[in-house]
Amino acid sequence: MTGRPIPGPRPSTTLGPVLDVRDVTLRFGGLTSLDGVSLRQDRGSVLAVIGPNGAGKTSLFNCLTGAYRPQRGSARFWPADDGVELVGRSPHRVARLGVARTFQNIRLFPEMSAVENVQVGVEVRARPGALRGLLPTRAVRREERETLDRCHELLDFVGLGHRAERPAAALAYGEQRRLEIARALGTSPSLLLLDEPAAGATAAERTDLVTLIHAIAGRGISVLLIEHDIRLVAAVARAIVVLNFGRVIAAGRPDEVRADPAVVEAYLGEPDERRDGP
Amino acid sequence: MKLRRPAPRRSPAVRSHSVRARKAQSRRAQLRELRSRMARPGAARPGGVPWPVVARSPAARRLGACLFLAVIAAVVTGPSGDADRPLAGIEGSFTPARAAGFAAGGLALWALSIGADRLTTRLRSAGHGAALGGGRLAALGGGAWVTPAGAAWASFRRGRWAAFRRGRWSAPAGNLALLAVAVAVPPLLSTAAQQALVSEIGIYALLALGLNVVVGYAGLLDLGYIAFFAIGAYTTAYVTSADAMPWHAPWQVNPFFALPVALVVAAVAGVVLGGPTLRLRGDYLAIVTLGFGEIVQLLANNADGVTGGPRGVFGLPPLSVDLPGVHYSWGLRPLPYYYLLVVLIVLVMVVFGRWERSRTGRAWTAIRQDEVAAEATGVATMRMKLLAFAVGASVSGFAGVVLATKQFFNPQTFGLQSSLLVLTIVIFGGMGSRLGVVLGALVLQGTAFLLRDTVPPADRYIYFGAVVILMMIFRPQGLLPPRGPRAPASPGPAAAPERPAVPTERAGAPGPAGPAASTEAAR
Amino acid sequence: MGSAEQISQLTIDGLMVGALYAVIALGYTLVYGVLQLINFAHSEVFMLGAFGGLFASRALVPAGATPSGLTSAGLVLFGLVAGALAGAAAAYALERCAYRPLRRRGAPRLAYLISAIGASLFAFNLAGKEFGRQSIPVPDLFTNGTVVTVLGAEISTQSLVIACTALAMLLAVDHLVAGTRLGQSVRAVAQDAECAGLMGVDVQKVIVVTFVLGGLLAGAGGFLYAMTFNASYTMGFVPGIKAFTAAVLGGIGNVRGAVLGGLLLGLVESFGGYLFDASYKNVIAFTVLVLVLLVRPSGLLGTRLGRPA
Ligand SMILES: Nc1ncnc2c1ncn2[C@@H]1O[C@H](COP(=O)(O)OP(=O)(O)OP(=O)(O)O)[C@@H](O)[C@H]1O
Ligand SMILES: [Mg+2]
Repeated sequence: MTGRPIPGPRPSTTLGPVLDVRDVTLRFGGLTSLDGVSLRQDRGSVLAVIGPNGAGKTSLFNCLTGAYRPQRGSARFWPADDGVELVGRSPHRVARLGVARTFQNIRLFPEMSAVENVQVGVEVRARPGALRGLLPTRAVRREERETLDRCHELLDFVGLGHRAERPAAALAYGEQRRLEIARALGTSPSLLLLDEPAAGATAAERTDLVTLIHAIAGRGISVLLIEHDIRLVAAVARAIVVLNFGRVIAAGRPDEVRADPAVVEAYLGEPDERRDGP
Repeated sequence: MKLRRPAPRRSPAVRSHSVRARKAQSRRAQLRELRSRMARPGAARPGGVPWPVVARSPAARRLGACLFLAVIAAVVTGPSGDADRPLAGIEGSFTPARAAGFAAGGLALWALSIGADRLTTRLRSAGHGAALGGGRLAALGGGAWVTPAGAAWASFRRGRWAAFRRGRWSAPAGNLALLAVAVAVPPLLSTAAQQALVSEIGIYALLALGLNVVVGYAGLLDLGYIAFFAIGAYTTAYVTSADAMPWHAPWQVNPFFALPVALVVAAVAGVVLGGPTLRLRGDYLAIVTLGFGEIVQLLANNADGVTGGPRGVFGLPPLSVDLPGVHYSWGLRPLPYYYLLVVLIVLVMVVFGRWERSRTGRAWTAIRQDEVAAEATGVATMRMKLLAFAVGASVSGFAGVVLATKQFFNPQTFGLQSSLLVLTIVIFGGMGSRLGVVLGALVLQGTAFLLRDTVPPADRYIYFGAVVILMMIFRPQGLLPPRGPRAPASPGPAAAPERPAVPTERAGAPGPAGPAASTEAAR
Repeated sequence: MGSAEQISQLTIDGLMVGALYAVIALGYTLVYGVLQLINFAHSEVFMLGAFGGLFASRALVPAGATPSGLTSAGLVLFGLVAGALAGAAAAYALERCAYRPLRRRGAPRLAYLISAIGASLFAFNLAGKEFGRQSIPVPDLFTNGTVVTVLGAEISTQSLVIACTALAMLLAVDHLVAGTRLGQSVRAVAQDAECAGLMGVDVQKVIVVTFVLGGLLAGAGGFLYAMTFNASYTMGFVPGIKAFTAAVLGGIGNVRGAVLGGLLLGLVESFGGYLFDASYKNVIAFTVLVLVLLVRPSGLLGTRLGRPA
């Protein structure tokens, strides 16, 4: 499942940031779920975002991918040497720019087969023109074959090669998570956002996941990862950002973050200072 | 206190991974357990007598349902009442003879359904998994079929028949056979039947194929679909005749050229309607499109100066070919129109079949199954939905051209009921299945035609309404469902993900604005 | 714009019709609150309620006679109750036949809508078959005349009856939802059905109660409507759409919003009909619907159930 190259074009590997989030603030009525969040990710790196439940991690992903529009702040993204702004773009534009994501509670196309799920992602990069598919010309046929090949390679890459024809809904939980990753990789991203990919995974699956993330990062794709398991995080990420109540309360190397008193407090809490939910 | 509130913060103590992951599942199981405990016969119900065990048993409930169906059927098929004696119709439905007949029918239905269940269970336990169809069929065969026969049928279905169905040549062969029947049989029919084949079956099959793109592929409920049919028909009137309408285009063209014109006009109308409204979530879209349909009909009715008003449109030139050396007019007889419709239908089916399996079709399916995920995967959902709308509309416009050149029409032709009829056909035939919806038109409208002397046309819609409800309950995939991904060893709905008992879009919890699809939270 | 008298007359008329819309709109809002789906067949519940009240009062009032005094009051009440019961029965049957089987199966959202459309098609055509296809007037239950004149606007007995009953029903529902145990469980299910179920709320029962409650209101509203506009098998469609508009305008799922939306829509329609032409009333209402959906889909008061905004 590892070692193989990720099929498809390889993102730029020049050094520098891939993502620069500045002062992103998101409110829902009276509830502030992101409060001036800033972070920076180097190209090709794995950055982890951790934080207690409701800290705003998923909200941050939603702001980056265009699902939510933050009230303030910017998020610059460098697919190549020129940076673009992510805030204010619709989700499909963001995806086409090269930011792919998975969802915390899996969102596949349940009645499509595994390979078709990936195909949807891969075909986003296909030549435009809705009418093109109508005539089975040689070029179209070749394109279709190439797409399929790539889909199967991606499925192999995440270890689902033998499940290609199954409907997504019939896959096991862990398989569905990996299929989501394959679908996201299908869009040839330069930045991959993973929202709790290890949730509900067994110990063996976790180990596999670590290898998979390494393999993805090894091909130059930057990974922004939400994860609760600090050991898994330490195994894949060089840097960690800790969110709590929508604020960045710590950032740095895993060992630094683990020792940070603010982090300890956020996770364990001081009984009299604990705030209630919204 | 909001309706749908963000999930409360959980304390870090419960943040164990396995717990988080399986939470939803275990919660559901708990709920089921709780429910079953509450529904257990004889369980103490606060402030009430315990229900007799018998009345709660599945067999008794099913008996109740069957008898209820029989009563409804008796009323529906019974005589009509009127304003002065509103209950006369219902009383007349239950003359002793009718009452006995329908009671017997209800009982028979009950016996059949129980018998079918028993058989199915037995077949299942005998190791013949997917024998449902066989079991049902065996039961229908009068109970004389014993288990081995049913099992044989089941294994046939699973084995050779299934292999044949999936085989490379079966589909083309079957389709060609159907086409041959469609070409060869109509000349043998009466003129009335040929007429019905054109204006009730053929045109509606074409309409259903178009709506199938919108509802079946993209999952958008369009209740104003018939408006595009009207637009096609009126466009034809404008461009082909100088005197049928109070107003007409500066030049008149051969009706064949009306086809592309109507296609374009209807597609543009589809985009114009869809542009602002496709952002809305499904049920709101349905209501807005319904209103659009109403408005178009109102306009057709009231704008006398432009549309001719309620009087309608007649006297349009029939279709004709005037090439050097070839002169042919479709004239007034139905059969030539029928063959034209067959050509159009086959053409549309072939094109859509190709489309369905192309990247466009996959994008539609993705949108239908999870719009948020599709958008996040880079599918331009808005554009694809607009495309579906425009494609559906243009097929509808096509049908409008055929209608206009064939026969008289007036605003009544384009009422809400017609929209709902097309929807009924699509539901009945199978959403997303081209052959299904064409057969749906044939079966539904054909039956209505055959029963035209027994059932007054106005009463047809009672049956159509009933068909829709029954299909949604018993066979939501329709008569001939589209072929999905093959699911080895997971027959039927077992493969479907378990959903909560109440249709709350749980995954996309609190969107700031209710009906807008795009604001559904992505988690 | 006309004189002060005209303005107050238009206001009164608008509020009167608006009150009716509000009563029907509650049915949409309650069901939406609990199931998050639009009960497309609610307009047929309304229509059947109107027929229930109509037949009941026809059975009691001899042809040509116009009762007065207490008899009138009793007859109106009787018609209302009959209409409400018919509406409730229809709503229950609807829930039982068109929705519950789908809920058991965990059907997708589209399925409910389609099933409701089928039910609507079935119900109003069946009504057409059984009750005839022309419109039928409700017999006179009282002598209709001008009761009072407010700022030059005449308020008829009929309007007064409609206003009073509508107000009483609205208050009752508001109290029921906001201030009783039953209302509490309705709100609980509205917020999180699964969780409410775990907490011991009988979700199934709450759903039935919601439908029946909506049916009672729509049925009584149907009878009131038929007193003014007669009853016919297609009578449900237009008021149904308008009540839905009212519900969306106020914020669907929000009980007080539905009332506000209904009254507001009545006013807009009344004044708009005067400014343009009475025949454009439907178009105006519909335009309001589209605009609200496109501009502020959460409505004026937002989507809540039962609590003041
Ligand atoms: N659409 C929304 N409307 C209102 N509030 C929201 C919405 N989305 C998120 N929130 C709120 O924002 C806060 C942050 O939520 P978010 O989902 O980002 O947390 P999280 O860090 O991903 O938590 P978890 O670990 O549970 O996934 C929460 O209080 C949540 O209730
Ligand atoms: Mg999250």
